[in-house]
Amino acid sequence: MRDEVRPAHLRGDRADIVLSVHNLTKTFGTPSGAQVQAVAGVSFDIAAGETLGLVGESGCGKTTVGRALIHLPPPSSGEVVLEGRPMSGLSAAELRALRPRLQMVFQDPISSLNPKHSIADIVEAPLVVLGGIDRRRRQEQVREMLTAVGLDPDIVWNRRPHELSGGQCQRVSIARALILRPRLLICDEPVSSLDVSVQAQILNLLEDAKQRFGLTMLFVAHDLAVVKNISDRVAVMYLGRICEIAPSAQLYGRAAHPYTAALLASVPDPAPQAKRRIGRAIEGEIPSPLDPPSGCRFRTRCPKAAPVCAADEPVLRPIGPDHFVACHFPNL
Amino acid sequence: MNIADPLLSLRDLKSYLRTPRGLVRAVDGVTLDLAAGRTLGLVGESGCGKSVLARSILGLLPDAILQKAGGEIRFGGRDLRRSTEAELRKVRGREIAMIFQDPMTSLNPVLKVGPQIEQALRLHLGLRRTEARERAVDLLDQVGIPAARQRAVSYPHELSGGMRQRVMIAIALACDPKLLIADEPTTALDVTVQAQILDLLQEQQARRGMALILITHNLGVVAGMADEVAVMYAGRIVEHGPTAALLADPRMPYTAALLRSAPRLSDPPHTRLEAITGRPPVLVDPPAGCRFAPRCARSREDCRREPPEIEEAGTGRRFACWHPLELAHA
Amino acid sequence: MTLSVAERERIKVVGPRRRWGDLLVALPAAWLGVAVLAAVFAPLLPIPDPFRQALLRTLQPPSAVHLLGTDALGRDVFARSVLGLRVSLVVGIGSVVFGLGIGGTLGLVAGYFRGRTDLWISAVMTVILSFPPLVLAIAIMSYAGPSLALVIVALGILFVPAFARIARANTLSLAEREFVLAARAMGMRDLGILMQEVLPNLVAPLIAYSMLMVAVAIIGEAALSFLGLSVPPPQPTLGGMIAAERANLLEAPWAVFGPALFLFLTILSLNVAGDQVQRRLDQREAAL
Repeated sequence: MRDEVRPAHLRGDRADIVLSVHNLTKTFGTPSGAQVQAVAGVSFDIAAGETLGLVGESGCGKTTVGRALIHLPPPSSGEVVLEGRPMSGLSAAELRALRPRLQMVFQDPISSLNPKHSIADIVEAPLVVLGGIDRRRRQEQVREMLTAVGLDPDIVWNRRPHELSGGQCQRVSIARALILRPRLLICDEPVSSLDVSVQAQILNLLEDAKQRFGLTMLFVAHDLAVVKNISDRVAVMYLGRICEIAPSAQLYGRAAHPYTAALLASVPDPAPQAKRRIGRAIEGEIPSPLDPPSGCRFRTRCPKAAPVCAADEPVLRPIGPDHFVACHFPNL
Repeated sequence: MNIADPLLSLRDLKSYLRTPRGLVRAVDGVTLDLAAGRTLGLVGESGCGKSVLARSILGLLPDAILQKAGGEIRFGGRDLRRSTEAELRKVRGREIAMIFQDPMTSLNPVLKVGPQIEQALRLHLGLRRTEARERAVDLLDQVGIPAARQRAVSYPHELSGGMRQRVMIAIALACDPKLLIADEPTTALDVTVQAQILDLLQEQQARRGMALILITHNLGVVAGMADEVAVMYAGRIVEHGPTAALLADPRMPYTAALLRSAPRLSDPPHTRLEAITGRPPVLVDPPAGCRFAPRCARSREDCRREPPEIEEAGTGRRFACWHPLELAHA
Repeated sequence: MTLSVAERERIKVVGPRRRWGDLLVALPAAWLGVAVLAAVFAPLLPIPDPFRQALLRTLQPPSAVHLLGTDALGRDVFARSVLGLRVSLVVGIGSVVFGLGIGGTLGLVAGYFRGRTDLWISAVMTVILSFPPLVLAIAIMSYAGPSLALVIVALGILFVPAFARIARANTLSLAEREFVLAARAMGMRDLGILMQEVLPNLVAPLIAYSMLMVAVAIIGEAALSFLGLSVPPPQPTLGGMIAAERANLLEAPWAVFGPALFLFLTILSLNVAGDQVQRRLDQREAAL
């Protein structure tokens, strides 16, 4: 039954799909009693060894998608299939058993580490929770993993998070996420609070870790250049929906959705050959998710909007190999 | 005043901060001139002293924290460093205005935005209430707030981040300042909104002929906005020059490394980034020689011994380095 | 990619501008230390027997034998004050531990689980808070009769809502932090998260607040004993001593001001030290 409505951009025929998300929605209640749909029917899949970038401005729902995947909090509806096993309807215990398979790295490197715990304890904690490994084995693994993320175990072992820099804390976060050898790593804005020079260190580390541990990644971020650098495929979100999804080079080279194009035009580029490029690409700001526009959600800011955009909501449709766009008038 | 005189002129400015960890040399000998109507991009990573420098100019740091360790801040024939609080108050907002990163915390949450602009107008220009009200609406209109008259009676929390920053700009522009200092004005904003705000700043600057100091960590922002760029590292300006030349041909290795470490849209996916190893020094006890030497690939023995002074290098460029990069595009 | 040792070591710098602050901690700490030791070892101290009456030597001024003179029954004021301080400290610390244990736990649970749990706990706390505190304590004491345990419980109940509020507010903000999310993402159970992730972060703010509350409890006990509603005589209490001797205030001020001085120094010390601890915690928080 579900196959009838399976969107065209899901690669159901491939055997190496690690994560498949189908029609995910997440609704939050507001204090005033209104319902906000933060994520309104999002589908995507990630193949083994692939990095999918999820990019969009604040309020587009990208962080909610990442959190819904680890069921914190669980999605309101939709299907999440991890390595062939559906996650919906799992008991708390079954969900716990699945947790080691997917891990998450958070945005704020300081806030995501408990200030009262030592670095060694923080990285060891997932092994303790998992159970069944003796202390010596655990500590060996912690030592190994700290080295793998570029920290010297002898130096950081007993330190507390506030004694380390933001970049070092993010390395600890990555070590904690990787120590269970997850299949899928979800990174939620892992570098957005870091300085550029440190950001480069962490991005390089994530690339290395991906090779070394055979990771599949979902990389959630707002910075288009960062996402391009690390992703094989990129999905652009706007107001709770995916409006374009394509391989990185394709998406950045030939953005088909007017929103993607506007985003790209807004990024200031320090390239010396770029002349004064700053100029408002699009007017206005993202509308309130409490009352999204009818039809295409981007139409209120879109330079190409026509009456049909208000009437019919466009669905993702193919416009090239692996390139899908939800727009009535894509740039081709 | 001579026409050739710069609008703002900093001479060996030193602002140290008293902290529980000791005296932090946040700004440690900055010399800089800014001509009227020009835009200076002040670039650096967090903790490099760029925000302390900006706050020092306006005397915004409380004496309990700031130790004025020397230097001059010449603006309009006065030395702001040696001005009294009363004299500074006349300069602040009227001749030099400032906007900050977070428009939510810099607006008063319990006042409507219109009256917040009126405050500035009545305080500095002595306008009457009705006059001030009209001017406030006019200013809101100028900074691109739709339906300005209705918006003037909104509270800050009823506006989006971009709109709040526009209100901040309106307040800053209220008295037609000669210099606007914008401290990371778009860092908290989305990229499409950032483009709008930068555009607005550029437009207003051109119209009013005011000078602008744009403080940012984003070299891309500077590239599109600034006439000249000053790069700060560990409390000092390490390179300064016309924007295009400096970005195309950085001489100081730190500038070059900063440019190379940021991912670019023009690069293909999975381009290996050239990260700068280590982290900036703690400014309680900075290294003796060049402060970038411990992280610099080109550093040699002499770099660690003697700090390089920032020196003129022709065509309006200055840098502080013993072993600068060669000019590639000369 | 790894940072050099030298770079890491440079992080650790301690400033010298501490002397005044250090004194503000050292002096109160010294008094509190002496007070606690004196209270604990009171029976072993080389001081006169606090219960021995000497009706021929009543209301004697301070002397080498009687450091703070004698009271209307000729008992040594200093020795009685030490014993009274013992009661004050036991009640102060005991009631705060009571309030901290119950209130802290309730606040922790309310702040972490939120929703209905929070609603109920907060409602009960609001009800307790809406009683005038001393009236509530007096009501409990006069209903059940005076005893040490009951004083502790009566005052302790009054502290439950305050500790619950502080624990709840701190837990609410801690539970928002990503390390709690990270713990859940690794499959940790709620009890584990509460004990290992949240609780260690609550200790510092609750300790600082507790010191201030011990001072409040000591004042509360003094008020109750002044009204004759605390530990029954002949056990001396500071409030009881002041109440008994106030008729002789003009004649023998030492009999009133002796215990009052003990009260004053202890409460001042607790407040100053508590403030300093709080300030340092704030500073550390800011540095994080």
